[in-house]
Amino acid sequence: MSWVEQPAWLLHRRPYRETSLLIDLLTPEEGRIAAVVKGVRGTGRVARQKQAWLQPAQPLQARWRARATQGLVSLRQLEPRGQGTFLQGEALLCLLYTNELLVRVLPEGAPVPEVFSAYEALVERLAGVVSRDDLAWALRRFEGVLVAALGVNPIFATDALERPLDAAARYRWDPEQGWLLAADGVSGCCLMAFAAQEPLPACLKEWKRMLRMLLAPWLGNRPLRAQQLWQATKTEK
Amino acid sequence: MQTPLLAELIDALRVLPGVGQKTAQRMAFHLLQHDRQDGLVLAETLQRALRGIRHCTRCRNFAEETLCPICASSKRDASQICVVETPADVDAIESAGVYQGQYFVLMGHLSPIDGIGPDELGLDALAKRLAEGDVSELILALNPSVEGEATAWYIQNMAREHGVKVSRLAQGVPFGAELEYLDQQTLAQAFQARQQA
Repeated sequence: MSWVEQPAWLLHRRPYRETSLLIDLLTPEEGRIAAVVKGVRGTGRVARQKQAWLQPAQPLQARWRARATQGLVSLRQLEPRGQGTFLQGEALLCLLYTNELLVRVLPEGAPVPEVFSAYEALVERLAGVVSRDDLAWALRRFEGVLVAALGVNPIFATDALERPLDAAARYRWDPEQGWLLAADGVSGCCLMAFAAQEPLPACLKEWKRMLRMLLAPWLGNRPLRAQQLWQATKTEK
Repeated sequence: MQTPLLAELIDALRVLPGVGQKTAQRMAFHLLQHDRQDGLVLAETLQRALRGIRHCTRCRNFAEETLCPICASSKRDASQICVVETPADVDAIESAGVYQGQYFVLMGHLSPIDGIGPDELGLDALAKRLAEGDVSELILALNPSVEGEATAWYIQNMAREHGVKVSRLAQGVPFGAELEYLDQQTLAQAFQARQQA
């Protein structure tokens, strides 16, 4: 019987039966996995320690028995992999957004090493952000890696007719054809800047629209609740 | 072979947390064999409680009238509101006997991934209470988790809008605990929040 051991990040947890949790983990080689962790919701020392580890932004190391088919895995071992990152305020909300996004769009069991690395970098960046622009850029970079991992390859150089992108024109994304000219689309200049990974503050809103277009086939008509929470926060202010 | 009613009773008892098939069966046999009278009292009390207990319109805790006993009491300080996640948290704080203010019970915490936002937590009702202008301090007694932290941050912003002071319960080493057995987060927070002796 072989074992799988992977570094992991907790995306979501919910109570299961009396003392267990059902969790979603992000791992590099096994992608998103759904797992059950037993003996977590008690008042004993071991349970309390596990509760403290099982938090988003806490790097983990997980071990479970290899399985032939997809489905719930029962974790045999779970321990912290270094110090957790303490996020607050808007940075924390961004992490909750990212976790919801990953649970919604990542299929179970497909290897996503580049998403895993980008997630690690994102957590680190969120801890160090000083402005909303920093937050937005950190999220857009992560989303860029995610859409590539989902198999979308928006070449930020040519349009659907294989003409070079025009910095002065506007484009919308068509999953079948590619970038099509559209008056209400995203600026060509910003598309090219995204490819060059240039964090231009003037392009942040454009990139947000662009990534929503790219992720739309996975999200459908059901909006992410973290986005609504973000909007509610701004209304509150 | 179980009679249909017995099977139904066993099945019904399984809604209780921690009660599986075996325990439900033991409970049902106990009531039927040894304790029919108490069983009837239990059934009647369950009916009355489930029909008669609702949520306090002011703090959302369980209540039998429009207001719960705490909100209705003139002895409680209405200028302080302690925000907690569950009615069990109210009980825990009440039994500690150190707080004389009122409460607001969220019945959960913000969790976008589970579809729980400000509306589900009744935060509009809390905002209304803050807007009334009688509250001077909001004490956040939320569970120390990432979701609890997000909820606290949201409520903090809301209170700031209304010019209400916000405080949070201290986090650190539990009384009687041994440092070597504490998890890293708790120890790190305890260090960050250390006080001058």
